[in-house]
Amino acid sequence: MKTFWTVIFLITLSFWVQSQNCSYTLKGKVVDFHNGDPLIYATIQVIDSEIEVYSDFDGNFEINNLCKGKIELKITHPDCQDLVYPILIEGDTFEKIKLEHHLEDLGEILITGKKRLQKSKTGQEETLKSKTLEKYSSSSIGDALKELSGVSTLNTGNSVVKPVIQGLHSSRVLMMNHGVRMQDQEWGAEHAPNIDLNSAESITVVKGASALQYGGDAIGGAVIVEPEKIPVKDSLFGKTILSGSTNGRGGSVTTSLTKSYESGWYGNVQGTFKKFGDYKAPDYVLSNSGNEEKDVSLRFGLNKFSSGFDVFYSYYNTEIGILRSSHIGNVNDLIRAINSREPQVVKDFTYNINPPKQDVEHHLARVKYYKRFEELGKLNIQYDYQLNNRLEYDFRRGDDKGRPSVDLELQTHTLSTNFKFDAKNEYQFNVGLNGNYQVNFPDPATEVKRLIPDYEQYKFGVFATGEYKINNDWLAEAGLRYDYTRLNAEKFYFKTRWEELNYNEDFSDIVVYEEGNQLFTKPEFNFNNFSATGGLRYTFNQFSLNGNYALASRAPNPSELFADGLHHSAAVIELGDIRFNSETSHKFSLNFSKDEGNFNFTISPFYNYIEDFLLMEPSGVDETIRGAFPIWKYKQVNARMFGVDLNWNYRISSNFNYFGKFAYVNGRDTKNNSALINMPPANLSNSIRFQQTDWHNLQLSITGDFVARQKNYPDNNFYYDVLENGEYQSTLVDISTPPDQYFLLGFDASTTFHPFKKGSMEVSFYINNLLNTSYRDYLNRLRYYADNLGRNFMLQLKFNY
Amino acid sequence: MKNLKFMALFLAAVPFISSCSDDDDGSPEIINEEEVITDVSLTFTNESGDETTYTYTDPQYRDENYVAPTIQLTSGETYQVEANFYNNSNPNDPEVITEEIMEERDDHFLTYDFVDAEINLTRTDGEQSTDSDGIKIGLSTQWIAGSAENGEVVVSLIHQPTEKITNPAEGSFTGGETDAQVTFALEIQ
Repeated sequence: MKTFWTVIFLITLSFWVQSQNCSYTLKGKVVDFHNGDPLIYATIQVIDSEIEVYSDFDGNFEINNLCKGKIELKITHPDCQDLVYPILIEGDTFEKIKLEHHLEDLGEILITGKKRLQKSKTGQEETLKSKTLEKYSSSSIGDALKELSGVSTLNTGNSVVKPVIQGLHSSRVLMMNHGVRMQDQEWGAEHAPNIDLNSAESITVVKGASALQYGGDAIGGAVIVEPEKIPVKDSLFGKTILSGSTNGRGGSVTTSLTKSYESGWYGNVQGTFKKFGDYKAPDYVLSNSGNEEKDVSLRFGLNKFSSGFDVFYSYYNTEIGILRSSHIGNVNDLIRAINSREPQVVKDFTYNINPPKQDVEHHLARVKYYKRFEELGKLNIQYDYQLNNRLEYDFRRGDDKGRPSVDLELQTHTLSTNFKFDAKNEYQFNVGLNGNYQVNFPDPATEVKRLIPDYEQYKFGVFATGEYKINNDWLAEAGLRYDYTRLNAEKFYFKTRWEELNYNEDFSDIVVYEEGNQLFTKPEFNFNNFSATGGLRYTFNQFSLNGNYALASRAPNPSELFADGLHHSAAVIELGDIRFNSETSHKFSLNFSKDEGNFNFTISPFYNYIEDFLLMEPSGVDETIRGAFPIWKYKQVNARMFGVDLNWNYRISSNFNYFGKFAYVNGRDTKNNSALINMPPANLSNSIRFQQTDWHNLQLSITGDFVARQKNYPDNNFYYDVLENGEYQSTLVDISTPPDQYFLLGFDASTTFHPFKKGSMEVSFYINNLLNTSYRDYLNRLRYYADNLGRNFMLQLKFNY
Repeated sequence: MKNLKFMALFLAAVPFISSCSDDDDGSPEIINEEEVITDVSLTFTNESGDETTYTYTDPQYRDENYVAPTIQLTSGETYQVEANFYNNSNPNDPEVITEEIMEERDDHFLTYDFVDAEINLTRTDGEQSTDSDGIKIGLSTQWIAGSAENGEVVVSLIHQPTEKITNPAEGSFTGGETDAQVTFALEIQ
């Protein structure tokens, strides 16, 4: 490099020596690389001289009295990356200079607040930033998402946490992790997303299917997890967070280190370790509720002006204990559990995790390449591979002790490409294709009937989305998408079940052979799904108003098609049906917000009508050798949901801020005219924050969360004859009544120090459930067996270096 | 140039991706569940040494000839009763689970509940089915049939109960979960 500059210098010098003719003029024009638009007020400096001029309204500039020879210009513009541009002056010269105008894509750190790219310009969306995410460093992504209004969680205990968006979850919520659609057996209500929250810089929730580029089946919405933007400059920086909690007597450590170069090369390594023992409810230990998590991710790539690539790999491993008392045998056990109001098994605290437990591994590898085309747009090509292995352990006898009862291995390959036409200021188009191959292998070594059968799935999707800026106040957005799914399964059915479901009449052609009391079948499915979205945004004064319609269509998931067996923690037999077709949702949403001034708010009402909505309904009792079990069958009904999410905040003074949020959703099965099950109850949260930047950036806040009792629920209660002292007593099995309302108080404090030459240290202290309130949550699948967590103190240290 | 190389590498990976779809490794194998209980039997030996066995089979494993068993006892007669559990899910390899229950006797417990039947029950387990706390888990019992009546008996096998209660001898428990629970019709003549 040095020699290069020396040569340049010598050449320049020789020109200078050769001739002293300094009367040449350089005329130029500074334009945007993308659309050729002139850039106004760009600063043009001649390096190593006093000369400095600005581009005019047409992007033109002029420098007079230049000598013959080579000069270097440094061009700066507030919205662009600085550019050093060498020019050889051999007479009067004209030069067109193109500047990169899309800084947010380049990952410059300058970008703040509103400049963030929105996933959907007219739909409802909310984003969590790293400051909030860090608070949840030792818990899960689901817990963090609960900070957003309209997002609740479906729990199995406290470590299996699934996000619920405006009442919908699992297969209806799409998770994008670092640009990859997660394929982690998300159909299961007890399968938490396999994402390390600490690898995210921001998480955006799109409430509905308006972000079509990610998928057309996001009837509930999309959760988009994005990594840190790495700056294009020479730097080395890192972050470490240590957390320790009293409840669970555990904690976590997470660390991330990033190296970047001016040339655009970068690399990042990140890892997390979490360990918790049995958690505690106010009155008892929640035996076998501990968890352990180990995650690591690596990322490197080249981020250049016109092209670049990114390689990402992540490994996620979690072991989660399932509350011992929730593993029950039959209806009699369920009745004992519900009526005792306390867990049946309470032991001393331990870090050991015993069956029942889940042990899940997820590998994700991705390569991405992009190229920008001058005055046209940007091309992306991506390949990703995911390997998910889910092991679930139950109690087993004899030689089978320690062997999993569920062992599912899901592999997914995806190839996707899109082209974004962003050359014009008024409109943008994004068109894309993706192909996907998935294979599910349930390992027969479990020697337990397969929960989900072997299957191969091929998917093909194509989409086009566009937005048009009508004028400064109005923006329109529209999109279309088509997805084709082919699924070839291989499944064994018990003859009794086969006949019970009347498959012998409708599907005799898919039976391959018969062995003992089982049938081997090859069901095949084809699904064609269309989705579309359209919306408008109107901005006026400090207000903005969006309206959006989204049509989404989702093919039934493997569980809905094939479920056939006993579900231990619910003591029910779940049955799917291979006759199901896709469900289709029509969602209308509005978003009215004010985001300037001391008082800000967002009001987001929605209405969602879902045709052929898949849900489970009780349908009789099945007698087995273990005793009786209620049967829950998947059914297709029509559903309608409406609700509203509200957010507001008020800046009381420079030190005090008030924040509030509220969410309500009402769901109804219009076919049976009954309430939908598991709809999140109305919830209200208020918090007051005090901050004083002069006192080591001290922040104190107190938060009150109120969750109402769900009054709209389907009554699936039933009576069962329980044998007591030699006589059968008809006993109510209350599986439907939602728990009482509850109020939780939380406190947090944080302050920042600079004990080192470089970087900072932040100390945070949190108290959850300050009043040690005993409560149960309607959306916790283990609510029949035990209370939720009691008080927790957490200390967190964060180092930035 | 670097990008070109990268592109080439990327494209080279594509055939690898598509090739994965070709390796269909044959049909999945049938699973005959290992530790499932398909049958529960009670074997009665009367005072004169005659043996009668009554077997309850899980509905999913019944064949066309299955008839629900009815235990027939004579009023005033004393019977030695042995409970047995089987896994007949694989007809070629029937398995007696009773042995495993005996091995894990600390984790198991049987209860007998009588409805409309008067039976004087005593636990007669030997060493093999008496747990480390000295509790007879109930695989072997003695029944003295009471007055003539038609009723039923519910036999339950409980896994990992917190407490095993043998007074009265029919047995009750706290905690744990039910591994098997079957009802036999009972006729005392």
